[in-house]
Amino acid sequence: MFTILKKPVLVLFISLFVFVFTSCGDDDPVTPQEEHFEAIGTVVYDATGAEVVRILRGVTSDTLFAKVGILSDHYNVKFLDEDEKVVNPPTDDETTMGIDITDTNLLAFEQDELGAFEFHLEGKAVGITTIEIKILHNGHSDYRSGLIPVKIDN
Amino acid sequence: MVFLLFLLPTFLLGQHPDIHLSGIVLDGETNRPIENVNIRTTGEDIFTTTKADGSFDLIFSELGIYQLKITHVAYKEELKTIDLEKVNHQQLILYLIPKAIDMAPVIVSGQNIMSKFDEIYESSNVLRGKELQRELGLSLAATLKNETGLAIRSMGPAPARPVIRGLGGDRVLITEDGNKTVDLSATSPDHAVTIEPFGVNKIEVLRGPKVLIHTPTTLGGVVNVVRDEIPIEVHDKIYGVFGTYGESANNGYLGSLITEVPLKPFALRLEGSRRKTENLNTPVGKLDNSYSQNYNWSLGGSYFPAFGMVGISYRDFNLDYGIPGGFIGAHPNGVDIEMYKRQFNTKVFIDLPSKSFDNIEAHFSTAVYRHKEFESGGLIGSEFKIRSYLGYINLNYKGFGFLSNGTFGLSSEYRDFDIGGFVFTPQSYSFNFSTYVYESFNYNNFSFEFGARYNFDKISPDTPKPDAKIGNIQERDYHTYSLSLSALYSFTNIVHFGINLNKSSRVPTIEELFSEGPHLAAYSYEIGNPQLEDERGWGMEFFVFHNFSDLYFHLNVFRNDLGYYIIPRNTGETNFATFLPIYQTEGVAALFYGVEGQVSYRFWNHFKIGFTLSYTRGKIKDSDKSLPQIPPLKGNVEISYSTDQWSIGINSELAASQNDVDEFEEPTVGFAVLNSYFQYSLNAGDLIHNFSLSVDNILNKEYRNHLSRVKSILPEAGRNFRLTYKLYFHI
Repeated sequence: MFTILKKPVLVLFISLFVFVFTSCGDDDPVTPQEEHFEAIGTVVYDATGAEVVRILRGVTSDTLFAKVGILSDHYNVKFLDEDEKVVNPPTDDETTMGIDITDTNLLAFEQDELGAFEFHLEGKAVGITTIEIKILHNGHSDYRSGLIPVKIDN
Repeated sequence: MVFLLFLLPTFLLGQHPDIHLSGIVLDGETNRPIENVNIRTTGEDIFTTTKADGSFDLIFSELGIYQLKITHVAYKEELKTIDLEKVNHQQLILYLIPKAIDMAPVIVSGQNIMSKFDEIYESSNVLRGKELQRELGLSLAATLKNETGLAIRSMGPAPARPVIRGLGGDRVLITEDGNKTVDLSATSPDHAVTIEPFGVNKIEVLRGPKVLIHTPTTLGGVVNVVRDEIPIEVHDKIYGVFGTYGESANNGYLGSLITEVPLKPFALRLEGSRRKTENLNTPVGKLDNSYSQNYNWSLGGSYFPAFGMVGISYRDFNLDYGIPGGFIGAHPNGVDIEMYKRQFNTKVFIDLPSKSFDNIEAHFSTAVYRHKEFESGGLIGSEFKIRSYLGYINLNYKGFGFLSNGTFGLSSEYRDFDIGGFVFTPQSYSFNFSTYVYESFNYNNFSFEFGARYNFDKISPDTPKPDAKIGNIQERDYHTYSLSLSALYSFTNIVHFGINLNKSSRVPTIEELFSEGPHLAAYSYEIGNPQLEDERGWGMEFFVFHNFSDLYFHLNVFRNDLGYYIIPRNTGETNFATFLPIYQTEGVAALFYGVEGQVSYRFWNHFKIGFTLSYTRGKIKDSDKSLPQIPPLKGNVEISYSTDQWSIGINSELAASQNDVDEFEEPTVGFAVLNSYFQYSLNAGDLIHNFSLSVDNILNKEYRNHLSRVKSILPEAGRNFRLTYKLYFHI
C-alpha cells in the first residue's frame, strides 16, 4: 500500500516547497509609524483667558470646580513643551482630545465640538474626583496629563 | 562453544590489526549506565556485554558496515547500523528505552558519536522522557525552571524566557533541531518564545566550544529543542504520540498529536496541538489578563536516497496572550498580544565517501514572524514584523592528524525588521555572515575541545536620522570573533575534572541601538544608543563531574568578565507624555561569578535523594553596584521512589531573598515551595500509556519570581494540579 503513495509524497514535497516560497508575500503589512505630539504638561484656561490649572510632569496643586446640574464655563486647553513653554495643541485631523473621568457618578463633561481642545464640566453629585486630559492619535493616547482634581458642589 | 567464542578474538588478533568500537549504553530515561547489556553483531559472532559503568569494547578484524543488536532483559531490543570507517576511534553512546516506561521515536540519538564533553552535558543538561513529561509547563522556560543554573524571566505566564547564569536575552540562543528560532522573545520581556514545549522529544542546554557552531555568545548558552520536525530516520512502523494536558491554576488544557509515517525511502511527520489557558489563580487572587491560547501545526518529510537525506518542513505557530496591567506605569487593563510565525525549513545531508570527510550538512529557513500589541480598546499600539532568511552549511570531518573530529561551517542571515504603530524604532535590516570551526581531540586521559567563530554584522536603518535625539541613527558594521577551549581530565571513566575558557561577543540588537519611545506591552519608554559597541568579554569555568552507579555529582564554578556589557537600565526617570519609566541602553563593564551544583544519591534500590544549587552574582565593575535582573540563590531538594512502572516524589523549590538589586529595582523576598508528583506507565503491546500527576505549590504559598516584571502586582501561581497523559503507539 505504501508503494503507491510514494509519488504523491514526492508531489507533496514539491507542492509544499512551492507553496511556502510563494506564500511569504506582504499580505499583512505593518501599520505605518505615527508622528506624535510631545508635551510634558497641560494648561487649562477659562473663558476669560485666565489660567485655572497648570499640571507639569503629572503634578499639580490646582483644582477645577464644577456645580451639580450646571454646565461650567468654557475651558480651553494648551500644552507645555519640553522647555515648559506653552504651545498650542496639534491641528491635524487625526489628533483629538479626550478626557477620562475617574468617577463618572460625580462628574460629566461636554464638548462644543467633539474631540476639540476645549470642554465644559457638569457636576452630577457633590464630591471630589479627578480627570485626565489626553491627546489621542487615531484613538490611542500620545500624551496623558496626569490626574487633575475636580471639586463638585451645589 | 563458549570456549571457542573466547578464543575467537584471540584468533582474530593474530590475523589482523584490531579495530576497536567502544562506547557506553545509557538508560534513555535517566541517562544512567546500564550493566549487562548484550551487544552482538548480526550474522557474525562478535559480541560483548557492558560493564558496571555501562561501557563496552567490541573488537573487529576489518572495517565495514555492521549491524549491532543491543539487548537487555529490561529494555527494548534495538538494532543499530555502524560504519566502522566513520566511527573509528569514536566513543559511541547508545540509549535503550525501558520496556515498561517509555517509547521514544529514536532510541539511538542522532548525535550518536559523542565526545566525553557531550557525555557530561548529556547527563547534566538534558531534559527528556519521563522527567520532561513531569516538568512540562506552559512555556519552554517554565519547563526548564528547575534545571541547574537556569531561571525564568517573565511578564505573565506566557511571555517567559530562560536565563542562564544571570544572562538573558539573546545571550541565550533558543534553537529548534539546531536551527535558530525566529521571534522577538530575546529583545523584550513581553515577547513570548514561539515554541510549544509539549511535543518535543528532549530539551538540551549546550555550553562550551560547540555553541560556536550556532552563536558567538559563549557565556550564555544554547537551549536546543529536539523534535526532529524533519525526520532523520525512517521507522519500520507508524509511530505516534497522542497527548493531553490539564492544569487547575489557569483552567488550562491541551491536546496534541504527533505521528511519523514510514513510506520508504520517504518518511512523513505530522504534528498539531492546541492549548488554551485562562487567567492565572494566585494565593492572593486572580492575575487579570494572563490568559493565553495557541495552536500550531507542522508537516515535515524526508527522502533518504543513497547519498544521505533531503528533508523539508513547514510550521505554523499562533499564540494570543495577555500582559497583565494595573501597576504604576502599566495600562490599567493590560495589553493583548497576537502573534504568529510561519517557517519553512529545508535540510540536506550528504554522506561523503571519504575517510576524512564525514558528511556535509546544509540547512535553509525562511520565516515570517508577526506580532501585534493591542490596547484595551482594541486599538493597535505596536506592531512588529520580521522576514528572516537564514542558512548554514557544515562540513563534518574526522581523523585529521591528532584531531578526532570537527566541523567547519558557514552561516548567514538576512532579517527585515519592520515596526509600526505607536513605536519609534526605525524599520531596519540586518545581515550576518559567520564562519566557524569546531575541533576535538584526546591525549591519554585528557580530552580537548576548541571552537572559533568570526562574524560580520551590518545593521541598516531604512531611513538614517543623523539628528535624532538619541544620537546619529545610521548604518553600523561589526566585526567580531569568539573563542572557546575546554580541557577535561578523566581521573577514571566516571570521574572528570575540566575547565572552559571562553571569549564571547555579541552584536547589539536593533532595539538596543535605535529605540526611542514607548513600548506598549513592556510598559517602558525605551531609549537606545546608536553608538553601542559590540558586547564582549572573557569567561572561565571549572567543573567536576562524577557518575558512580548510585551517586551522581557535578559542580561548576564560573567567572565571566565582560568588558562591555549591554543592558537597558531603569533610569528612575519618567516620560511625562506617557508616564512610562525610562529604560536607557548602555554599555558597562560587568562581572558575573557564581557556582552551581547537583548531587543525587540512589539508596535501597528504589529511593533517590537529590539536591541542586545555583548562585550568580552580577556587578557593574566601575561602581561595584549590582546588575539588574540577577536571579537569587536558588535550589531544589527532592526525594523519590521509583520502580519500572511508577514513581512518586516530593520536592521543594527554594530561593533566597534577592537584595542585590540595581538602583531602581525592587528586591524580592525568599521562598520555599513544596511540590509533588506521581507517574505511572502501562505497557499494552504496541501501546504505552504514560500518566503524570503533579501538585505544585501544595501549601498555596505566596511567592514571587525576582525576574518577573509583574511581580509587584501579584505573585506566582497558587496550588496547581497538573495532569499529563501521553499515549505512544508503534503500529
